[in-house]
Amino acid sequence: MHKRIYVVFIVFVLGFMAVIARLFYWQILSFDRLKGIADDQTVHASSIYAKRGRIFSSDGAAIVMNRKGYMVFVEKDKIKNQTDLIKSLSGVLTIPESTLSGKLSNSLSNWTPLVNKISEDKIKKLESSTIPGLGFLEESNRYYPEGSMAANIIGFVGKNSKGLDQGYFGLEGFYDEQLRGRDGMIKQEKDAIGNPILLEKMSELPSEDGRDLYLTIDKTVQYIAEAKLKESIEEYQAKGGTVTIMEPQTGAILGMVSYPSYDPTDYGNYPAEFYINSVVGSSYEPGSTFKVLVMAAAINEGVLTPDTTYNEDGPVNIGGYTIRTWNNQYNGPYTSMTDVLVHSSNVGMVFAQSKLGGEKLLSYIKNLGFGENTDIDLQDESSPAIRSGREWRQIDFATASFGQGIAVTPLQMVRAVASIANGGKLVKPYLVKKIKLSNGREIEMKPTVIRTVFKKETATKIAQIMVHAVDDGEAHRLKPAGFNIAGKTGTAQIPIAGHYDPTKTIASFVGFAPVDNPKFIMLVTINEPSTSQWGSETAAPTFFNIAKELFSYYGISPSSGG
Amino acid sequence: MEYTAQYYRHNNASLGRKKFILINSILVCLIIGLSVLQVIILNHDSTSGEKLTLLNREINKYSAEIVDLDQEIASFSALSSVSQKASESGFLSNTQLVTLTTESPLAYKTR
Repeated sequence: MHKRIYVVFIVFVLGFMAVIARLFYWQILSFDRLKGIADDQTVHASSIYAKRGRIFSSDGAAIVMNRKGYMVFVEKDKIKNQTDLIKSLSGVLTIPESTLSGKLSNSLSNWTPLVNKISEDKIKKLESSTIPGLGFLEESNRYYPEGSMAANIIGFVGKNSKGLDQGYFGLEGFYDEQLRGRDGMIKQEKDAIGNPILLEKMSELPSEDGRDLYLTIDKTVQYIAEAKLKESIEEYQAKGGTVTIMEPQTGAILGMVSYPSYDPTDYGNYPAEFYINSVVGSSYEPGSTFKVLVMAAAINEGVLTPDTTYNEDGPVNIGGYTIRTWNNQYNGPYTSMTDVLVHSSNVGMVFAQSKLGGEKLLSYIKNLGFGENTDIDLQDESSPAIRSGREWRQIDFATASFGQGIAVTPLQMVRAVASIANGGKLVKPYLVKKIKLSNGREIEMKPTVIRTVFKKETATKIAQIMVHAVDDGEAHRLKPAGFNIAGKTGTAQIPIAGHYDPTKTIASFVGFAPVDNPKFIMLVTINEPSTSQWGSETAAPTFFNIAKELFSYYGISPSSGG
Repeated sequence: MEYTAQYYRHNNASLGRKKFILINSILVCLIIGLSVLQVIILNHDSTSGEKLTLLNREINKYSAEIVDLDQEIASFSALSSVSQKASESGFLSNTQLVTLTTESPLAYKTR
């Protein structure tokens, strides 16, 4: 009897030991592996996507916002009829069938993303046709309430090589890191039907939304400039053009237009060269607008005054090259430096440059910021190089004095002339005046003065000569009556394969107003106008048309201008 | 005397047993009570997950509505839209600048 009890006891003990051994294996030895499997089944990790920062104009109106968009994908193994699927997609999404077909056949995986940033309306159309194998994923999309306004300033958001959103060109490119923000993550246990189990642990890495940008761009000024430039380009049958409007005292950009432009919601359907903002990314020879800077340098150095006279009796010969005035007319003896600028005399500028000297001219060119980036907060800025001193011949100095043989960007040019408008200071142009963080903190951007280039008296003297150039120059009939505007026209031929094409020009006009206390400085360039090649007949009317609207908008009356 | 001592011993033992039973009863009641409470809370929280999901959905819905309304406001106040509506309503852009350059005297002096 006792023996049988012992046997049963030993069997039970062995049984328990087997259970304990198994439990030890599961709970101690295999703990990590089994916990991982259990967590996979119950713990759900989901990303909290950071919202991309918005962009506002100076009056606080949104010019770039976010809205819901969709990514369209296909699961190849579920497709019943590929031809039908491609036809339906092509019709709704307005993408060529060949593009969609190529994407499908080039993809090696079953799950193939086809297009991004599709609007809700189009998705509803696709959903109604219930195509097998087709799916949609929600994502964030950029929305532009003002349409394509300021597209060349803003840039666009596309996808990078990892398939993530990335800003390209303009502000989107320059401030991409700040606008992007940081995605977060939430881990939570969920029950079989996906509801969170509140008693279980939850871990959260909060997301940080992108920073909002507040621009110096005034959307009314931008709207006026865009509308007027477009009208002018159509009227003069030009290839393109730019308008740059800046506050001369601070360098704050009020408006910046580059034409041709593009629609940022549909950037893929435009040629890549349209993405470049010509104000900062293209160079041109400034022509006669450059004369005011060379004359300012000569007056600043004390080698000339506005009343200095010389004998303008005909063309001049420099190193075997003959330099003439634009209309081949000469004002004779007692031609003053004011007359030189009013009549835009190339010969007179050669005289002024000879008084200034080559080295001084080069040093002023560099001090005025030519040959280097202005460091504006735009991704696509590039600067044409200025040749080193040894490469300059006598004829190069002579032609540079009237703006030929030297390349600048429109922004460099407007900044340099702003130093005459603001009393001699070279300022740093900027577009973002405030960055707002997701926690509400604000970072204000302060205007920067880089250096003083001209004495205040020099700036005042040149400004007065520029007023004469407007009042008595070729464009005087276009000027709004009673206003005190300083300005200068420019017509530069375009260098092609080592020589200048006489039929192709870039016409320009730079000016500021009111002269006593300038509210704005503006440069207009018209690229290859067909109806007239002269700045006084194309760029100047555009300048005055915009200026008239700005006077009205800012409430500037003729009396306040003097 | 001996009777009294025996009485007290007996009485103490009886009191100790009663205390023991009382404490045990309280502990058992506490355990049962807390277990019932845990079951109630667990039941309550197991259905709150669903409520939380519904609340999150509501939050997302209203957030999306706010974004849509923001967009509508921005679209209607866009300059291109305002300008188009103004011209449709018959307004014209007036570029004629009218300004008073000098103050007029109260009365002109005549002889």
